[in-house]
Parts: sequence; structure tokens; C-alpha cells
Amino acid sequence: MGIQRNPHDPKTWWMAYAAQRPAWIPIMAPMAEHAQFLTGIPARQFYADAKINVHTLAALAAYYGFDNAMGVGDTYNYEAEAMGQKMIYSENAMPTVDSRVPLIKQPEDLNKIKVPDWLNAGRIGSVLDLIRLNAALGVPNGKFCAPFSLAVNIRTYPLLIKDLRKNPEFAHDLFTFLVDEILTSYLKLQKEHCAISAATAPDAWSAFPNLSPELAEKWVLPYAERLYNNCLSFGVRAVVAGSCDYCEERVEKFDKNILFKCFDIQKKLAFGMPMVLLGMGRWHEYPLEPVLEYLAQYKNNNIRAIVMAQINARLLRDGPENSIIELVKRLIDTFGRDYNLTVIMSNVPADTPPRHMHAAVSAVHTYGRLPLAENFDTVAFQIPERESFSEYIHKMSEGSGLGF
Amino acid sequence: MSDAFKKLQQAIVDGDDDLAIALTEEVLQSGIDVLEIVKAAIVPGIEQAGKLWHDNIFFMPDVVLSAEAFKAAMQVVKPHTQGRETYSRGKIILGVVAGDMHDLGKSIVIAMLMGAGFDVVDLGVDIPAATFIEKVKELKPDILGIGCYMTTTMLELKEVLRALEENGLRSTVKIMIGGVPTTQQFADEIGADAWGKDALDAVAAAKQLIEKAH
Repeated sequence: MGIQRNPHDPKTWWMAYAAQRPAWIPIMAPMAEHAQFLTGIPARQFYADAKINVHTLAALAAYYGFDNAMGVGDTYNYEAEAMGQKMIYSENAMPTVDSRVPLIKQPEDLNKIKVPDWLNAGRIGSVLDLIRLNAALGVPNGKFCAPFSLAVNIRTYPLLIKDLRKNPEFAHDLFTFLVDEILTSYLKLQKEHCAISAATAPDAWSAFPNLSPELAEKWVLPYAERLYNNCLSFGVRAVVAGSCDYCEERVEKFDKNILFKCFDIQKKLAFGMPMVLLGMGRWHEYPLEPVLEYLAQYKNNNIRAIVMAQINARLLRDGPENSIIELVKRLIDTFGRDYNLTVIMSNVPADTPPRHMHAAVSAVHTYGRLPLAENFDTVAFQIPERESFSEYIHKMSEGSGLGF
Repeated sequence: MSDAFKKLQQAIVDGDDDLAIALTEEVLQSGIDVLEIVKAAIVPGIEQAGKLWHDNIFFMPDVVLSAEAFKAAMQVVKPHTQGRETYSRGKIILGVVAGDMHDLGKSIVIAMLMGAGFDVVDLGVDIPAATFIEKVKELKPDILGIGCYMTTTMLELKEVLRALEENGLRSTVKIMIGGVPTTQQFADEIGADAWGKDALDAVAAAKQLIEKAH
């Protein structure tokens, strides 16, 4: 394939790499903190300058061998900041909302909030640049923060939870405003300026146990559907993903019934698409059999469901390498044959040793090579010895760096 | 247990802060000793919430509201306990590192620690290493609890421990860390004395640290 690598444009490094990949289980790896840490780019630049962000992440995707490359920032914060929520910026850390001063301190404050002048608000201009640059990498998707997580960002979690219980009328008003006024106009802007036709939102604040499946059914699902319908009117499919991700931290509390309820909500959020998300939870320690039990409803009907399985971020950081490799083998062996498996490596901790990342990626590429081997124990595997990321950048850019 | 105590305890379990405040004021006005109210109604309320959480009956929203109701009730009794000799397992100061504003976990940890009999000082969020040092010097706590909730701010924990060493304070205080991105391995790497996986774990770890010290 004739993808010309331009030393001054890291996007082409990944494109050239991607053009000659063999068929294997894909790895999706949206990660910001690890990339920023490895390059030492100040957070104020990394999270505000789309070119710096996308070039860095494209280079990182090419370096590690991910199957997608895209810029990613502090996705949860853009709308809140544009609405006027106070933020905290620091040199090393991702920007974060200042939860000491929520935009909506009391319910009456909702009436004072106006739809932002999007093009001139916060870092929205940079987000539009990010979407355009991502489109050049084959990811022409819009970005937004899910209604529930956005509500947490401008109200705080304890106050919002109290609203749900004691002032549900206000909570409904808040979600309706966020969906109908804020997010719909924000996605329309992305349609107009970036020609998106789809957009996805993370929603970690509604993951279990931050929300029970019952609360998610009542407070997440209706507003995700409402936003989807709003945006469909101008040709954008806006999907909330990651809600009801099962993230019980105490393995002894793993509960199959709650897990199944989470999967049911995920399916509804995906508008019936047969899929399960094994996201931020401790899937290196949870049993996988219950997932197969749930997936049997698809397999028994000859439906090849989608399984999105994340390698736990803290396992990636702490290792050891053998545990990472064993998890990859187990995930592929369990889900790679009867389902469309994608391995996710997201939220990777800043100081994760690159060797752990190489171990994970190589394991996916080795054991996940299609068609899958019958018996993984017969597959030879070795973690490749690699240059550092800075050496790689120097080599690929012919000494000129990341092009900014 | 009196009916009033039962109602107050239940208000805390239910996470109804307004009711918890009203009932605490009511029992105070009835002349019941403030320490008895804390011991027999308020603390059992947060303990019960912790147990329900442990048993997978309560989830985060329930625990957060219980913690808020507990803190609200404690605010009401606080002026009445001043000058009274109260039992304390030990003094803990807690804060979230610089650049990090996430205080949900800290808030629950504080409620649970207070419920377990610790004297807790909340330093807040976005706390620079210099402030941790200043407060350790000033308050001489048994335990310094440090939280972080992002993987980039996690690295600030190393700075706080380094600053404690440099100021000759490391041996004077036990360090307990916690927060979403942290692990036992990270705690070991930076030389912390304990890691709390969650609020219940933090209470157990704090008790152990105090027991070992005595």
C-alpha cells in the first residue's frame, strides 16, 4: 500500500503503519495522560492545542501499534468549561473542574445558565480542530460529554444524587436543559463545522457502582435516547457509551445479577446492538464465565456479538508482564472465537512502563492473529525489545520532533 | 435504644441530611448527653451504612448520602462537644494533592474514619506539598492521609513524601494513601505505610497503623 510517510507529520507514521497491518484482534487505545507524561509536554499545551495533542497521540499509536489513532483530551470537561464552570489548570495534570465551586450551587442557578456562544467559549475551537484532525486519521467522530457526567461536572456528585432523591423535578429540568439546549446545539455545531455524522460520549460517572442499574435506567437511559433523537434530526448519531460499566472494586463483591443488569442497560444504550463492555472493572480478577453465560443469548441465535474488553489500567501500570500477557491470552481465548472482540487500553496511567505496553500489544498481535490458533500454548511469544518513545520520534522525524 | 435514637440512626442510614439535622437538634434539646447521642445514634448510623455497602446492598449514591447526613449531624453536635473529653483512636489529617479537585472519595473516607472514632482534620483538595508539611508540623497527626484521583496527580504523592523526608518529618507520621488510580504496589513504591482500597479499607488500615504504633 502506498502511504507516504512524512517525517514532519506523525499522522502519516500511523497511517503508514496501519496500511500494512495483518488481520488481528484490534486494539483501541484512547489515552492522554500516558502520552503527555512520556513526552513531557506541559498539560496546558497538551490539552488546549489540538495539533500537539493529535500529533503526539498519532505518534504514540504508531510506536505501540494500536489499531486506531486519535487525539483525545479531557473529554468530560469541554462543555462544562464553555458553560462557565470554573476549571483548575496545572502544569502536569489534566485540567479538571473545580468541584468546590459548582456552576449550579442551588437549583435556581439553572435559570441563569445560557447556551454558550460555542465558537468563542472555553476550548471549543480546539475541540473542533481535534475532530478535524482525527477525521484525517479515519476517525470522523464528534465528541461530547454524556448528560449524566456533565450534570455531575456542573453540580457535583453529592448534590446531584441528592437532587435525584429529594428534588427529582429539578433533576429532570437539569437533564432536559443539558440535552435539549446544551448538548444538542453543541453537536449541531460539530456537524456544521466538522461534518460529523456520529458522536460518542464517555460516561464514567454513571458506571456501576457510581450509579446502580436501576438509577441508570431512570436517569441515564431516557436522556441518552432523547439526545440521540434530537441529533438524528440533523443527521448525527449521538451515542452515550460506557454507562453502567461494571466496576466493582472488591472482587469478593462481584455479583453476576448486577453485571447482567449493567449489560442490559448497555444494550439499550446501544439501541439494541448485541454488545457487552468489560471496561474499567477488575476483569483480570473477575470470572469470565458469567459473561459467556450472558452472551449465550447471542451465540445460541448465531449472532456474533461485540465484546469490548479492557486491559485494566492499573494492571498495565503495575504489571508484572506475565499477568498482562496471561490476561490478553485469556480474553482472546474466551471471546476471540465466537464474538467480535476489541481489546481496549484506555485511561493508561501516566507512568506506565512502556515495556508493559509493548507486552500487552505484542500479546494481542501474537495470540490475536487471525485466524486464531487452536491452542495458544503452541504459539511462540516474546516481548520485543524496543527503543524508547523519544528515540522512536527522533528516528521517525529524522530529528525534527513531533512537528510542532 | 430510644425511639429518638432509632429515628436519628435511620435518618443517617437513609442519607436524609435535613432530617438528621432536625432529629439531632431535637434530641439535644431533650437534654440527652451529647456524647451519648454520638455514640448511640450518629456513629451507629454511619456504621450501618458501611455494613450495607460491604454487603452489596448500598451503592455509591447511598453511601455518599449517608456520609453527608452523618457529617450534617456531627456539625450540629460539634459545638456541644467542645471542652468535653472524647475518646479518639488517633488524629488523622487528610487532603487531596495539588492539581486534583476530586473529593468524593475523601468525603466518604472522612465520614467513615470519624465514625470509627478518629479525630479527622480535612485539609481539602488541591493541596500543595508545602501545605501538607506545614500542617504536619502544626497538627502533629498520627496519620497523614493523601488522596489522588488522576494518574498524573498520583505522581504528586511522591513529591509529598519527598518533602516530608527533606523536612525531617517522615518518621513522625504514618502515611496512608488512596484514590482510584493507586494500588498497593504504588504505595510500596513510594514508601507509604498503608493503602486504602476504599473507605472501609482505609478505616481498617488506619486502625492497624495506630495499633502498631502503640
